[in-house]
Amino acid sequence: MNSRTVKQDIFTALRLRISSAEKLRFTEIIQKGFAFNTLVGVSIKTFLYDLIALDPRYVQERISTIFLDGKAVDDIEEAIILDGSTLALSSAMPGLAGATLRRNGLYASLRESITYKEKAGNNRIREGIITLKLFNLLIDDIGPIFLKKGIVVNSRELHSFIVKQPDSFWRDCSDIILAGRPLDRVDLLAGNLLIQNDEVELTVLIDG
Amino acid sequence: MDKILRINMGGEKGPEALIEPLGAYAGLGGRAFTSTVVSNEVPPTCHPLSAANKVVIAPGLLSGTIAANSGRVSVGCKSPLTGGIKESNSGGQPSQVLARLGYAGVVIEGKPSGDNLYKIFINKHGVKISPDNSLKGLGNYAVVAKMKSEFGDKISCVSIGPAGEMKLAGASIAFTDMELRPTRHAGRGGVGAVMGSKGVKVIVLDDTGMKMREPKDKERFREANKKFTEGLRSHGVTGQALPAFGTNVLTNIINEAGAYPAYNFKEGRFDGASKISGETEASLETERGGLATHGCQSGCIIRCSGIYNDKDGHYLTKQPEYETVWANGGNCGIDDMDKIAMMDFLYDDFGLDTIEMGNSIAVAMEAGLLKFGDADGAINLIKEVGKGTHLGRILGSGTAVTGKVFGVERVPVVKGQAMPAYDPRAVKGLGVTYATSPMGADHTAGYATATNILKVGGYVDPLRPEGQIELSRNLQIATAAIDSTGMCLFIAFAVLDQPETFQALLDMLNAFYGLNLVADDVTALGKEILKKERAFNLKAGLSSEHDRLPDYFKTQPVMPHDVKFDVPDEDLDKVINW
Repeated sequence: MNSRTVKQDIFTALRLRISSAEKLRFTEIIQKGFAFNTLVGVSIKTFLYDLIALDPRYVQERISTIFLDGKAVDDIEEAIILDGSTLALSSAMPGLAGATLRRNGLYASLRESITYKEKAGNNRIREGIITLKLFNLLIDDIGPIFLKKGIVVNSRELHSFIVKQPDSFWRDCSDIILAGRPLDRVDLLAGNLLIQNDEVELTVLIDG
Repeated sequence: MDKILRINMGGEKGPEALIEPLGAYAGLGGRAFTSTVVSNEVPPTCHPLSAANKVVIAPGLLSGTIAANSGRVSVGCKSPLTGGIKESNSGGQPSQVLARLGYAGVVIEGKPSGDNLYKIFINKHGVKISPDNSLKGLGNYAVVAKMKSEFGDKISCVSIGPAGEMKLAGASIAFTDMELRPTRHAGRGGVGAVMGSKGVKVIVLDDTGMKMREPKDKERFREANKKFTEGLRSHGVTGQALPAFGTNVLTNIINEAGAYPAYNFKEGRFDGASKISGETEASLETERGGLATHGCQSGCIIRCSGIYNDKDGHYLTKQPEYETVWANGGNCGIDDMDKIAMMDFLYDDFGLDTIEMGNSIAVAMEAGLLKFGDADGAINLIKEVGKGTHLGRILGSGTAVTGKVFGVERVPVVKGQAMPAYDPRAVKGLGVTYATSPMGADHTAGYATATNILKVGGYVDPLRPEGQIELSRNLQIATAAIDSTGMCLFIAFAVLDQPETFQALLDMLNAFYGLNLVADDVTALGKEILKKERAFNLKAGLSSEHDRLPDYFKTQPVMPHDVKFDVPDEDLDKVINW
């Protein structure tokens, strides 16, 4: 399990406002996975329907492949997200392997040994942090929702990501606010501002 | 498609061409055609590189028509890699062109007595076979460029690179794409070595003056094709995920499932997966002015391929697909997309199977020849193959040979053929297909996912663990049937979820040939093909003892799920046995 423990009081908070044309640049971060503060001890269904407020029809039709801690999930009502869980969401994938991993698919038996099975336990509902990964079509579809809510990423990885963004990204970046302080691109990259703490809470607002 | 072209490379006065009617092969296309010809005409015990073996190239039943995604081509022979029957198929243009020229199949037989290398030109006027030793040692790109300068750009080509000339068991046959580049390959099983043994470097096809093939019932055919096309476009996989990201979209989810073989099948996950995923690849392609969505053949509406440019925006290769990126990426501990793209280009040029070669390199890494993650070292090894050095010839002879030469225990092969990109310990149902397919370890052998629609062997309860034996059997039957239509296997996803799309496919076949096929007929065809292939293998010396995964998959668990392959041998023996 790829669990992470993050203390909220040592986050550096970075907020960016970018244009819609640049949003897919965050693909790298979103597919690799980010930490997300949420209620835990709830089912995947509750997380997606109630906490993220996704349309049930969208979840049913589009999010057809789900992994909880690397195991393929069939029943989103039964599978419980815990503090430190890793949740990965994907649309329908090609190939027999893709069809096999699909939830409630016809070929579920082909991956029986890696199917998620919920164990009875004390799943108290409380605040916690999970690792969330979004793949393929979902990056564009619902990635912006999480970017807007705020995600937690490793500060050094974020620094490398920020450094390599082209001029077009910064031209369309209207706000750069670090720890409540407006900055420009040069200031942001100068010194070790971004890597003062291990983790950064990144919020990205997307225009258009 | 009412004739067969036979080319006897061992004719008394040199190579000779004979055009004959279909005879007993009437009504067969693609894999049904190639496996039937090989079963009937090739002695199972012959040496694969001898005059007795044959290379059979067959378009699908609907190739050359307006049907969407109908241009897949099958290549059959006795495999120098597995020692059994082989059908390896490819995209590209030649299937459509051959079909429009009226050929249901091209059978290359015999062997020339000298060491001349030949080119074969086929157009509406006939066939011309001529020696052309200026082609010796050329890569596929250079061969196609020469053919273009000689015959113009309205051609398509079927060729081998240096690996095929060297008769290496990992050699492929290249088929040109819409841009007349040799980027599509019948990769598996060493079919390129058999073409090389016949002394044939390139077949040039020109269908100038030929028309689209006409169905018997035009209106019904047009209507069925419309429904079929709509089905492909409306499906989430064929209409969205594949066009947007290509087959490499699988990297992230297979990795997340812990079924992504990394470091020569040692691990089930690769830390660098997101750097070489389909999502990253598509972004790079778009950013550099390439294409993230592109068809490999005319008439393709899924368009899961693309154009991969280098950092300076120049064409480097076509979009490397999932199996290539995995075999030469995660399986070798390499997470540099540009280096993997370079490897893809070299494989296309030298004419090598990317899966077999990626596994050979990973095994060489395990042997300590170079370190996991050494991308430049891997590129140099591929160049060794192109140059034909002793080391290169070992690697190009496949993963099993490489493992033997370097004394490696963990060699992921079945019947001598390297495994594709899914760890059979995590997804055991795929392990069943790897073990029992007559083709050796093959991810496409049980790819078609239409079994419960076809009701092959009755409805299978997917939640029963033992269902994987029946599922693997049914998937292999369905796949054999689809391989015979010439339809791209990716249509299977839409067919799985949308019964009306499967019906549209049947309607197209019926309208085109004036038939009344029902699902049971398709099932019967698939069973018949598998039966023939299995019978050939038994006579060639491949029995149920060869339907097994290497022992280490049963004894060494793979992480993160700590799972082994534990399907009993007696269950495996039930798969191709109905």
